[in-house]
Amino acid sequence: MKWFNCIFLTFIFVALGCERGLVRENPANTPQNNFDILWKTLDERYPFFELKNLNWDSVYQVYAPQVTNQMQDTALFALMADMLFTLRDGHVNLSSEFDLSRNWQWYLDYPENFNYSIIERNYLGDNYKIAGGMRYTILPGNIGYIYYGSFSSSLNTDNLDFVFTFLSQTRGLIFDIRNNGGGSLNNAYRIAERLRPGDAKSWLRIYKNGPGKQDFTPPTQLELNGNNNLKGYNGRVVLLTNRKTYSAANTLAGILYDNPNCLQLGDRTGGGGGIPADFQLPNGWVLRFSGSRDITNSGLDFEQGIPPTHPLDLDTAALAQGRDNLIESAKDLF
Amino acid sequence: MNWKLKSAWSRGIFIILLTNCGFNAHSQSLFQGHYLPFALGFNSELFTDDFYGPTRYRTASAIAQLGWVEQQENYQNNLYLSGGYGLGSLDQPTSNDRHMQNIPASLHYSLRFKVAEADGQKHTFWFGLLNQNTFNYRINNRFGNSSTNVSGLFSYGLSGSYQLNAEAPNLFKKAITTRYGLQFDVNVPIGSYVLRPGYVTQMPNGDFGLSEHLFWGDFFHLNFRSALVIALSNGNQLRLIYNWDFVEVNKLHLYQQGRHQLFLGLYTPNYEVVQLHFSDFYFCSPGL
Repeated sequence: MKWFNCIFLTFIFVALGCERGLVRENPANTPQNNFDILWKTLDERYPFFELKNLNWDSVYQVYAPQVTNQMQDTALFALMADMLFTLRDGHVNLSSEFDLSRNWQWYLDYPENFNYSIIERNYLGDNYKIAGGMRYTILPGNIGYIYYGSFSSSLNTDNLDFVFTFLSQTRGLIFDIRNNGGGSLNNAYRIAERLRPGDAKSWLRIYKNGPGKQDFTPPTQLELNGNNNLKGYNGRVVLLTNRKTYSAANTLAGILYDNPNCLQLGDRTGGGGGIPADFQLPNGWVLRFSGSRDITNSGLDFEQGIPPTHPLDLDTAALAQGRDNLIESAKDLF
Repeated sequence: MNWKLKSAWSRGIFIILLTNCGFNAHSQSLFQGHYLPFALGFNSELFTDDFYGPTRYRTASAIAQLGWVEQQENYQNNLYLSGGYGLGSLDQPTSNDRHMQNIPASLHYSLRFKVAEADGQKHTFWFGLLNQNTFNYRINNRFGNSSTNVSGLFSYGLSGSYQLNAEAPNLFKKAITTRYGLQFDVNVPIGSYVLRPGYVTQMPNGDFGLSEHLFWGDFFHLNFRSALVIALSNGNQLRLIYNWDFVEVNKLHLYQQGRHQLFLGLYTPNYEVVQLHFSDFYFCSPGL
């Protein structure tokens, strides 16, 4: 049986080391290679080139010649960050051990339209309630008011049942999501279900599913629970938004966009309509980028930001008097 | 001979192989009977997954295995279920940050029939059908939105096995017998139902991005298993098991994974089951 010994020993020695031969070799960890992989990953996976009318090949022509294999990490990072900046996307970041690249111009280039101090002191007052991250009260004139500053807060069914039962007898609801930078999409869905619960709320979603610019999954019609038995708000709803209403908060505005009983007052939302995904470069840096597109039934891409039905900027003169003219104007819509 | 076996482990296996082949066969196969295995071991994986990035990751995990093994004169059933937990990092010399969590699991079932024997029952060859499932749940702690990753291959195919029954000098007079065995399995799946993340997100629209039945070409899966069996005086067996598994899926993204597992297992004979025929076991009473 010596032939068997030979075969078995061959197997043992091959198997102990052969996976290194079978599993693809690592790409070289050089500045040039990291840059190329970063560019190529976005070239194949980023869904908004056409929407943003961005020629990614031209971007490569501008930045690639500046890369050398002698570059320091900080210089390479800065160059990559500059390239990513051209995408104009708050969901695109490059994170390293020393920095996080970002494009926050989606709100920095626009009026703030928000002053929480005025809201807390002059509208919420001393006796407002907090549940699941929502700060809520009943304003004079029997108008419900909810300020929800982040969808990262934990939010459960009991929270929602209590809040909307408490506000059910008001004659209108102001749902303020200014400066809400997003968080859990599930929170956005659960809240949207409760606002005008009997109304249909649906939109479309597509995902990148291949390297081609037009490689997307077929559109999926997403639909929220139109259950009348949910404890929700049946009256008119006015959503207050500004440019810092982003990501999941932007999605909430997008879901309600086609609903005639939900008005939107303030500034256009900031966008952030793509669900982010991550990718790790050979040098360990992590790229975050949008990987999907949400689109209203009327054809508006969430990434562009949701335009208000009633555009209005915060009036600094009113602010000086302690009044938020967006809230005051919303009261007039009921 | 000028070549050298560098590791102690490979030297040990080499010596055992040489010594085993010189001894006589026992009248009944060492492998025959019903056994309930329990094994603990070490799992090492090297994988590349274009969903995560172009660079390979290396993970190391502790792993446990349970199962049921039955061998009769002409057939054998093998069921092994294993699972573990470990950490990993980029397979780069400079990367020490263990930011990858890994939960590997596998389920193997094979039904083999004896196809040949030589020198009494010293050498036996088996061939049959296979169900080989490989599953990994991974979390990349550096990722925010697409940190989790599930890869599962539920494969079927052909399975072959060679068994050696032998005797060797007894170095531990009372604890073990002089009987040794060696089993060498080759498992070759030919089709697989594959679960993988989508092109950019794990579960687009709440479903796996890739959930398809694939054949060779789009997937490749190969599994080797070898075991050194040492019979203890009390009827139990100690088995030193080495398992090697390679998986490749080339759909949506390239995914390649090489897996080494080394187990030390205790195989306890199940005497109650031994007394029953296979068909009785199928209709077993609750008291069994």
